[in-house]
Amino acid sequence: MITFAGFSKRFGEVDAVSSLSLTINAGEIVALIGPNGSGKTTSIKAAAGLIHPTSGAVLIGPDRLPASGIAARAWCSFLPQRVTFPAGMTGREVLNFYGALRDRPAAAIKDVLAFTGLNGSSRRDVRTYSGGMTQRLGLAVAILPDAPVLLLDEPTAALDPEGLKAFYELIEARRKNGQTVLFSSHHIADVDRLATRVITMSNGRVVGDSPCDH
Amino acid sequence: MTRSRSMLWLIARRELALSLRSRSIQMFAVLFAALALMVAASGYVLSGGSGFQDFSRTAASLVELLLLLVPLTALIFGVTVLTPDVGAAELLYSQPVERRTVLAGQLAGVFLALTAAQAVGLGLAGLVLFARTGFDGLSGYLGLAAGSVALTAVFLAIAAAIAAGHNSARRARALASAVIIWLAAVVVIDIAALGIASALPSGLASKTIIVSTLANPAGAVRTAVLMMIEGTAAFGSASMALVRFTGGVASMSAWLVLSILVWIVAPLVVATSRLRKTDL
Amino acid sequence: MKVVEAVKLMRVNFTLLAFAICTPTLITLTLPQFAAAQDTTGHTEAPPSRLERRGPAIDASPLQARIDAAQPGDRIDVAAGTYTGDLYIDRPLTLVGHGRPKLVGSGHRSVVMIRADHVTFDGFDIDGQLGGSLSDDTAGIHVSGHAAVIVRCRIERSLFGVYLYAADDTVIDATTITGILGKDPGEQGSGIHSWNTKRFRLTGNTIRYSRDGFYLQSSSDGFVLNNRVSDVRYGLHYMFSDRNAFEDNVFERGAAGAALMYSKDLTFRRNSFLHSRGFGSVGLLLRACDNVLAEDNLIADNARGLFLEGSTLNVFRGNLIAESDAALVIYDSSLKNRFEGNAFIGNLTPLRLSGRRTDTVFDRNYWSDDTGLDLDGDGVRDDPYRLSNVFDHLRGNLSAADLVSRGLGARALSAAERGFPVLRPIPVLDAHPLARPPVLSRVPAPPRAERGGAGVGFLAASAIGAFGMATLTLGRRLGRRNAEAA
Repeated sequence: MITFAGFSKRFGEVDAVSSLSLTINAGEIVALIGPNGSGKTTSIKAAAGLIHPTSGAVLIGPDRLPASGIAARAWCSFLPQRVTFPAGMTGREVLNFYGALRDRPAAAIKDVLAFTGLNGSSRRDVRTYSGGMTQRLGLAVAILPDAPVLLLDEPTAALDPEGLKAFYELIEARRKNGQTVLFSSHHIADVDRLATRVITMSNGRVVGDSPCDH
Repeated sequence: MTRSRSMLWLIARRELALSLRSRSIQMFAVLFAALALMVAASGYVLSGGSGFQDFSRTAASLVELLLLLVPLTALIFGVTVLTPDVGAAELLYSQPVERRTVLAGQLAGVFLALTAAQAVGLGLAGLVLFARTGFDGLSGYLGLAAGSVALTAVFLAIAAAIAAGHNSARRARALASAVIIWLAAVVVIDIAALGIASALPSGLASKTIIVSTLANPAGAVRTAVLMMIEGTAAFGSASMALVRFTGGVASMSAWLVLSILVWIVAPLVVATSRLRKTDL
Repeated sequence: MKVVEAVKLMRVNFTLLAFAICTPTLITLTLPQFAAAQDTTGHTEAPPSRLERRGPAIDASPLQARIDAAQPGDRIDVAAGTYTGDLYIDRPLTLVGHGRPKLVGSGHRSVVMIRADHVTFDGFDIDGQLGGSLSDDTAGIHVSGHAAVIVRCRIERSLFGVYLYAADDTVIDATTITGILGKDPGEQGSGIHSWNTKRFRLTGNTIRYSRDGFYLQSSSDGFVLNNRVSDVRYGLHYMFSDRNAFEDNVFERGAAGAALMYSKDLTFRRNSFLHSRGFGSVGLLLRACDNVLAEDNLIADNARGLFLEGSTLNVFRGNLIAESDAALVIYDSSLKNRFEGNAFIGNLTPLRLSGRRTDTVFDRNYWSDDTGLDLDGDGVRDDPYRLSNVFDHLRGNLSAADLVSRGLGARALSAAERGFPVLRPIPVLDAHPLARPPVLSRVPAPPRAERGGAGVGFLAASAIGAFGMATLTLGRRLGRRNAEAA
């Protein structure tokens, strides 16, 4: 579902990722681990189409679509590391907007609100949300499209306990449904508990790639 | 195509709602309306109560107000909207929507919000104006409205060229560029052209002024609107120099419109091409 | 007093700022003002050499027999109808047209020739058939007797409208003269031409499309009142005509509204000089005129408002001079003129001076571009007003300078220049500029354009305002409404 084909990214003088070649299959729950600056975020954002490769390519889906095209992005859903929303909208309005962008029915919005525990606060302006609630809303936006590929950048870093619970349930459900997840993390506990495959990065290169059994 | 059009409208509606809910645009609407009403109400006094050309004099003062406020606010609101927080930008641009559609939608939303804010002031000023000075100024009044729309479009496009693809980390820098561009467009270019022209032989000097006025979007709008208000003789013999240089009233109008259009299209092309290449 | 100082300090600070922006430009602006090209408007006409005589019988009007048969002092009533041929009136008579009889000339000379005193001519339409010649002074009505009265006539297709040839005490009233549209002003005569005529009264006439509206040469002690002249070369043109008065006239769209030349002791009040917009056109021109008093006139929307050359001891009081490119053009050959209590409103520049100085006195006028303060509230601004700004220096050399003169950059430049006059300013001041426009209730009201668009104007303003309000209020709910739809 995600293919990094000799993907390299250079920011100025710094090689963030060097010729990364990697295939992530449908149904895999892949954890990307490694120290800060090892290239995890760059790789995930490249898969989300936000970063253009300096060389190589990042391809999405069975048809191997270039990640930056809108066809590929319809396959993916992405949760940034620290998501923010412009003040002045309610949580519900945020979901309405992203739901409309991805042609989701109103029922789906109700579901994700319930799933992320935001039902009670969906009519409040997002500027009144706590950090954890904001990240939960981000998670809600990310799962709303029910995309085949879910890309999460440090999903557990900013989530509150309620959000973490939802997140674990989400990954569990996706594994059962055979949907793909690529996420980066610092927490070895998350990795052990969730991933079916762990990829370790360091200095922009893959230094470890192993299946993970439970 | 229809999908990207409906996406554009969706994003525009969100940006419009967000803009209109922000304090700053509400304050701008109130401030602009207050100033426009003040100008409309005092125009009569300023003209000496003679009743002579009350409309054009008041409308000409409104042109000054527009030139002062509209480019600056369009630049500032435009830059602010187009330099979102990283987390918001990443979420938005990872959606299956072309980046240029996102940009166009956001610009359309802010454009609608700004023109609506200006329209309140222009409408109120127009009612005062027509009630007091008679009704000989319809085309001038429509010129004012068109001028404010044109200024908004031009300077939003320029804001896009400055800001597109950047996030809030670069907002301060983008705002600084915006203020410099505003100062250049409404003050410095005119003075510089005069300075250069006064060192040149007279034929070349006039051409310098004419070209700088046509090429500067603020100058082009000012010229076009004042001529709609006061007729083509609005600038005395300078009007004639301009008409002669451009080869007649019709082609002069065409040049003015062309300049304004180029200043809308060219910055947008710059903005979209940069946005397409940027890593977000 | 402290407040005064503080405000002055603030102004200095602003000018400092503006100055900092504008210094490089100002330094380059030391070019001397360009002298405006000498006008070539005046000319003198030689007195006419001969008078047209009675034509052959074949050219005579069917009415001629009645005139020839009449006794002096008789009244002749003329019924409606068309009478082709010329009329030669050589005895005191009163001719009254009923139902506007039409007199069509032979095309060989003036249609009506008045060659006796005390002739009254009332209620005729006259067609000159484009005949005759300028050198013969061919006119619709040619008068060379005293005390003629011409009323309610209409004259068209005639080189001159009415020609007064030493016709003292003549009255022309309520007569409409239409020149030959499209004919060069040099190839036709004036609407009413007066030569060597005293104590004339020209009232309530309407003149269009002729060379000059009124051309008055060597004609003194007359009155020109309540006339309306448009689309001519000069609306009113005095040459060597002293002690004249003209009041309540409207002159529009000429090369000059009125041109007063080589005449003295003229008085005029409440006239309107409007829309002389052509290149070098002027609302009111004075050349070699002395002791002129102008009061309560409206001089508006002209390329140049008032042009003063070689004229001395003239007084301009309580006039409204508005919307000119240059309100005043004064040649340094003009001496001891005085402007007081006038309102100068919305002119691109107040004064264009030919020469380096003028002794013209300006006092207690109102200048709409004067931003000076009146902190002591006595109705006079605290600082004198200088009748020149940086753009006056530019205009001479730079015909396009005005394109930028109304921008914010120009404002900053002017402010800087006033604070720090690096250019040698032309020393022309109004010592006591009024802080508020004077009430000039006797000045004629400016013409109002048609109010036909009333509804449309209100509608446009309401629509624009409503669009704004609706968007502002409804637009905020867009996201929410969408919520229910989704």
